[in-house]
Amino acid sequence: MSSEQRAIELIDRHLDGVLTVDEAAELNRYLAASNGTRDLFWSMARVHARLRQWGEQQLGERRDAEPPAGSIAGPQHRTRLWSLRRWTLLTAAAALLLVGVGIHFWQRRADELAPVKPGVVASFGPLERVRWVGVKEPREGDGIQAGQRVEIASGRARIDFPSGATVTLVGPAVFDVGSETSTYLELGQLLAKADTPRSLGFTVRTRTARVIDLGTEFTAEATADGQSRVGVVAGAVEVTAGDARHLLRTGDQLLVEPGASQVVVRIERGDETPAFRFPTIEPPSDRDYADARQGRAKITVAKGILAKANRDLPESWSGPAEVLLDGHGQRNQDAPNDSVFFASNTDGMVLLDLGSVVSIEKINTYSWHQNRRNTDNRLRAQQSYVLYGFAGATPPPVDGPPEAAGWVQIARVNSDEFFGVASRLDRPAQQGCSISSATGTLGRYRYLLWEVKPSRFPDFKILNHTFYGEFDVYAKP
Amino acid sequence: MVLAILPDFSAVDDVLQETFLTVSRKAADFLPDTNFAAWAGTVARLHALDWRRKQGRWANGLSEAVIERLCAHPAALGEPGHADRELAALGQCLAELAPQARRVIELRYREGHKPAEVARRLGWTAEAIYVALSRSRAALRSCVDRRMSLEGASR
Repeated sequence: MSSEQRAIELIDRHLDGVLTVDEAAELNRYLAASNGTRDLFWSMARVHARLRQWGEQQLGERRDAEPPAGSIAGPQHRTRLWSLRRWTLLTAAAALLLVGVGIHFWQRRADELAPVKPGVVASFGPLERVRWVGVKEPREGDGIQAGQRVEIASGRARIDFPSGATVTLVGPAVFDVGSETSTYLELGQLLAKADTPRSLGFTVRTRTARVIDLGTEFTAEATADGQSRVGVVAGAVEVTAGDARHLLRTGDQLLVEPGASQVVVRIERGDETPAFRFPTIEPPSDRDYADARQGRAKITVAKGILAKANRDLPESWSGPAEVLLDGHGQRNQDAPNDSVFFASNTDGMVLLDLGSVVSIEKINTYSWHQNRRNTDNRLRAQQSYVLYGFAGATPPPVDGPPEAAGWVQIARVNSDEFFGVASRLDRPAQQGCSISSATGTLGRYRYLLWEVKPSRFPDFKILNHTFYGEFDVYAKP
Repeated sequence: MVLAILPDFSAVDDVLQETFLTVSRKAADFLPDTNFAAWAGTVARLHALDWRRKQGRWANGLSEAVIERLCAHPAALGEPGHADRELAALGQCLAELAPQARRVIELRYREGHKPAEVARRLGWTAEAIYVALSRSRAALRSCVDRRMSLEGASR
């Protein structure tokens, strides 16, 4: 065995904590003697550290998939949760340490950071073309009292907090400054930067979610009907919806619907292989309740027609609706027959009959499209639909607005909005969407109805319907 | 850095927490125009050494002199901004591992078990686990390096 091989073996044993005393002495000799061995050590240690980071991330994501807190009270679980929360904070802190992001703020002295007036917990920063709602028009530098509401009709208003956190409101917006660390977004959009050590824990609440900063830059949006959307630009946040917590990292987005079910929509970019691997969403499954192998569910086209644009080219036709329950996604990036898609530029509806009323825990949908020659053409990857449910024996008609006919709206999905698609390449070619609930169940339904819409960006009128590869429904009788 | 000095995951957790608190408390003492990452790294190293001392015997670990030399090495703090990219590359590389190797990695790094416990759970010998961990990490290291250099070349 060469000395390098031996050094590798010893470093491995050190990383696993199983060195004997003699082996430790031998490793110390290697490391003291050779710069190359020290290089090797750090190269191996870095993979070890990243693996642990990955493991913690996985653990957090698995925790998200577990039942809500109300049903888990064991001390072991609580310990693990605490450990995880602490690790999350520490990871954020460690990231700050390593990249020096917080340096500017850490250099500021405490007296510089303190509010200038009693009761003042923040102040206005730069104000760009702001049109205020109300008579009083604040100016840059004005203090904001605890509990003060800030309303703007248009423009952008920045609010600076003593911790170093900043919130930029994009009008129209209604925003309450509760304290130095706690705020409430009633309506509109904001961009929060809370990347200083003192701003760890900075919180933005909405009607349906609470976003806790873990050293990050994130966006939050609250719509008039109570829908909340959170996206992480950099770093990590913890989003609480009901009793469920979700750890979001750079690039992650989460949508929380209003209502008792507290529906959470998560959309992720896949690895663009037939394995359909996603950061947290599971790959297409053949073991879900609705899968064809289970023999319980039946899927049909309830409205519209599946694409068969070129009668002479069957290979360009959509597959039948049953493809969505076949337990796998597409076999390649541009596989019409392996996909289900509607005729160009039309709306369509897909109806799933689960056979009986069941308690639905989660619904995943998968899409994949990238033109073989034009890599920026991923038009058919976007997921854009409204999902409805119905618990009765016979599904309501679908020729008018579904809700008026008795369908219950479960979720609205628009992955282009999630990914902030501003150019063609922004759109991930493979996408997974997971709809779940903070309460653990989306509700009890027999029928599910997807009202799907074509892609509108760029504004193509042809070949613009999404290639869906699989619908999975996780449910219990 | 701390994970490299202290292979015990729970010890690392404690040390990082202490480090974070210290850095937050002493932020005003940090001198502008000096290397912030190195300063924070020094705080972490001192806490790691302190933790070891409090635990008593560490004859089967790295010596303090070697730890000092390792921490003085240019690679100790890594390259700024690489962490997220490395993690993303690692995620892709893990998908290429054989199922059994992946299971071993999951038990070790996701569940946080020591190799002996991983062996017990899988019904393998401890030596087999050491080998599996070593080979898996080597494969992952090579894969991450390859992906990082490909990414670098395409930028």
